Amino acid sequence: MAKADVLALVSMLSDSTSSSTQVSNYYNDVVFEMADGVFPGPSLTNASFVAVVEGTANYTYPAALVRLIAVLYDARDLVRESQRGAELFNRDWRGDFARPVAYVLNDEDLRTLSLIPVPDTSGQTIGVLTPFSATFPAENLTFIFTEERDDVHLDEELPLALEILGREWSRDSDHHDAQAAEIAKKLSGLLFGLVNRRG
Amino acid sequence: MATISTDTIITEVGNRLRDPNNFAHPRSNVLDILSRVQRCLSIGLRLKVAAVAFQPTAQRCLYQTTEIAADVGRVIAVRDSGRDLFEIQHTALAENNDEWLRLEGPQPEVFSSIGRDLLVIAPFQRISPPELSIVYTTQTAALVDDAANFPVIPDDAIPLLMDVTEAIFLLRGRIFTPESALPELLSRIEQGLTASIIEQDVRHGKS
Repeated sequence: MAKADVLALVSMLSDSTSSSTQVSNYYNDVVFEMADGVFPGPSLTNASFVAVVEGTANYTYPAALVRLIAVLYDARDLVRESQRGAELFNRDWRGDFARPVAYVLNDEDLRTLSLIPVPDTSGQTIGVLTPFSATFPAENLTFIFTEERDDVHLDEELPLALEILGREWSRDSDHHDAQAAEIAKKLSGLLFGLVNRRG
Repeated sequence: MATISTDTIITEVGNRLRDPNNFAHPRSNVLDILSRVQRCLSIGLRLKVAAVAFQPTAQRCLYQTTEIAADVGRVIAVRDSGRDLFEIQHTALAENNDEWLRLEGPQPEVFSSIGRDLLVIAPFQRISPPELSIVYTTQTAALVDDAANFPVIPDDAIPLLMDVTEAIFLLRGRIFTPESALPELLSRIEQGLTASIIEQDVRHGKS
């Protein structure tokens, strides 16, 4: 319900002058930016398993992932390494098979990473298990990340609505109002900073 | 809990907005914004906390905060009987032990929040983990426009609650003329939030 609630709030605060289509698009943009670290956070976090296949180096991110926080192979928190660092470790790192200890973010496909060394065994079947299940399927990847989602936390709805208002009043339209936009963004910034500060 | 009732606050905000009969800003709208601002202040300034008993799962360190309670804002403490677990940054988990996800031990020692939705309690126990007490800031419930209903935040936070609400309705009315109350109000809100945050940090030994 969060998105519908926020859109209704924006409509109330703008006295129904805002464009519902544009406001809905701004909602998606701002939620993505919340996950991407534009606002104080991180806020919208989740974790997901990805199945490891013997001899496969490259793994695609979970679909909702916006920013990667950590990647674990089995229980081990992998070290993020640059491609140059991987080459210093082993010039033939793409052909090295063992238990992974690090990963490299691929620059060819931005939503994949490569494990170093390449896993020499497949993980146990994940099935319906999640990182929050009591059973742990060994030798797979656990991604911890910020994600894009429909709903935000209740306390984030007001600063989110104010940020959307700021954008709606900033754009070229028959209800453009630079001064109102600036104040809406200022209030949004104060409240975002408040609710997502680390206290 | 505040000693000023919600309906009194709504009336006061209406008076400040020169809308004592709530023609421009219906009471239901003011009530909604008050509820939302209270929630922001409660979470940001730790004004309303709750404690709940939580039974961890054997052989598991990673939890979603929604498993603890529906109204969790931010976890601020985890206790095992009289013993506080140490809070560490999630980046420090791997620095201490890079196999933190499956770390096993006789009793939980540390907790770490990863963003707002994930909580790590480590190490896990193979069988029968102890019941823990989790303290968190709450997503406060919506207020009710009634003389018998009171904000759950303390009295000293009410001026800030009213200031932020008033600013939002001045924004709604687009009242920005030179004599507008808004610049002064925004300055007061910034000062009030800064002072409250410093007070909270000092109380929790952060500065």
